[in-house]
Amino acid sequence: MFEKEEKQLQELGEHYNEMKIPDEIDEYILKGMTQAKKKKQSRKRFMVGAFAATLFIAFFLTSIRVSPTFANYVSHIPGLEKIVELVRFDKGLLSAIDNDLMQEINVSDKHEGLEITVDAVIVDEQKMVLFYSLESDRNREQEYLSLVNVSFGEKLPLAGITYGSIHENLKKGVPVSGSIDFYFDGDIPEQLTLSLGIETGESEKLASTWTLPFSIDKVKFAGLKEEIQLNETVEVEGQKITFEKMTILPTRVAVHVKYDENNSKELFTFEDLRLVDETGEQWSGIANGITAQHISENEKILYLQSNYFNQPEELYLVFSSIRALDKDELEVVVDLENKMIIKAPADGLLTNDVEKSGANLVFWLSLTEEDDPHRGYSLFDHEYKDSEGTVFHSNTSSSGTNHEENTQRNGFVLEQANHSSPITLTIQDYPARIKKDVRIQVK
Amino acid sequence: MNDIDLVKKARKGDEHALYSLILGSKEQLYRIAYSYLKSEQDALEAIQEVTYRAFKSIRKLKEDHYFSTWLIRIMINYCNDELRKRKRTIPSSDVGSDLSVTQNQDRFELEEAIEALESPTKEVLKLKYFEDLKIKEIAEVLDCPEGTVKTWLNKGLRKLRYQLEGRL
Repeated sequence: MFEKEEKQLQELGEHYNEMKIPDEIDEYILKGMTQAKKKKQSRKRFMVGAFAATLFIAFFLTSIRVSPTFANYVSHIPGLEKIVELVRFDKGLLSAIDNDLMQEINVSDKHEGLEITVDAVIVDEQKMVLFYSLESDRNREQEYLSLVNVSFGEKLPLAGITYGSIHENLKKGVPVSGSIDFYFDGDIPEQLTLSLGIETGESEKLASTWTLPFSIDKVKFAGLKEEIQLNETVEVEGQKITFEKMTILPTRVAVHVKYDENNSKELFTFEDLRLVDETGEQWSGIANGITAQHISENEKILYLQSNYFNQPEELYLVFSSIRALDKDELEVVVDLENKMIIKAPADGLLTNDVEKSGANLVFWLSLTEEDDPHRGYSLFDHEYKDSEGTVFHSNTSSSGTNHEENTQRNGFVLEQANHSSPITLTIQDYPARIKKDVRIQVK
Repeated sequence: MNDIDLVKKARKGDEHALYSLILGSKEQLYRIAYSYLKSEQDALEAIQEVTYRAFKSIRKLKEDHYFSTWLIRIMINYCNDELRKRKRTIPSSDVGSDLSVTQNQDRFELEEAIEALESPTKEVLKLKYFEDLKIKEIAEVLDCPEGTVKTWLNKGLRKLRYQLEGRL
């Protein structure tokens, strides 16, 4: 009926299909992403100190089922329906709730039509997971709300806070839930007063401060801690690693590790460190939150999900792969004028070309493993040096993978557009590995 | 890993997964943007904005397999907003300075005729003939029943004929 028109349209379509897509398109995608991430990151705050909070990528997520106890518990407390979603990737937290470690709080504060309720906490002597809900007395469509300035005042020995929720499109009278993790490095008082602010949309902070005083029952978690001395040194490809001890708390397991200072390689990350019991049940790394604490260059605490309430008969600490690179290959030297890498690791995974537009650098990383495209390497340390040795800080880095090509694009934003070239960057993560199956008996 | 797994990850907040997905759709998104905005620079800016919007609102995506049509919808909404903002129809002399004008007179007429159509008729024609989308996918993009898409398609083709032949 419309053959002629259809044919004309198809021809025009072909013309569009043949059109050259400008090379800069990737740059624009990256810009859009960075723009979105910047807004997001400003909501995700880390009181860092010595903590390195790693992007959450859950590789060894074992299937976690919600127990009937848990489901029942959650269903009769208003505001907690969403807790399942908030903790479902952490076996330790689920079993902490199953074992009655959750403390109901139910304290609210309301300003400017927004009511925040601290619904419940799970707390032990190192960590508190606080569940809150947020309710608005009017519809807030297309509005983004996020928590800011979360604190307990200065008295509390806080080592870190992580939270990341953005609440959007709040409906009148329909509460939304979120959680905040607090990490302690000292004794916690029984009386706590949480204070926080709320930011709306494009970083506009509301004038009010929400103040939520509540008390926690310290008896509930008193003595819930198990320490196991390991003192076991393993050697993988000539690198010596000593597992000193393990501290098992209801909210997490801390594994204290030391690397021999004579190791020739820098060990970045244990890719699959986990606890396995005699039945084969596994507890892997923390899925969302602080995954490791760097005490010094060669001493770290790695955090795993807790098996505290499982009390297995046998327990093993297991891993098979560590990302690592020779210590003398950590420096990457970039000639900004010629957009070239002068010095890079010998394995050639980092390609020689660098793209530069303004202060934006883009590196290309070849990937070696099947899982790599989904890992998003944060290749470089944020500090870098120019040719005169002056230290600068990178504002943003990002990475993304075109998974068909097995190449990852890593963006790095310089503090300023021009430097006395060449500049020196330091690798802090890299897709090269030491592989060996290691199994250490803990119990 | 296939795209559905990537979409699942992206919906859970994995930004690398989302980035990969957008990279995978970039050519289609660019073509759509170009077909509306008729300028390389504007189309690139559209890509940036759509990436930004996708990152901001990935959580609103309701079903994994709608990802690609969802992305197209974001692009079309953006382009229509842009055009509305500019409040102009594109004169044919503006269309693609890289094209050879004399040889392509017919094409410009056709383009103009398409631009003169109203939404969503215009979208239906572009998605079907430029992007080779199936009726079902177009229905997803426009969030309407398939029957409605067919009606618009028919209406669009008829209007196009009227416009093109009226001009002859």
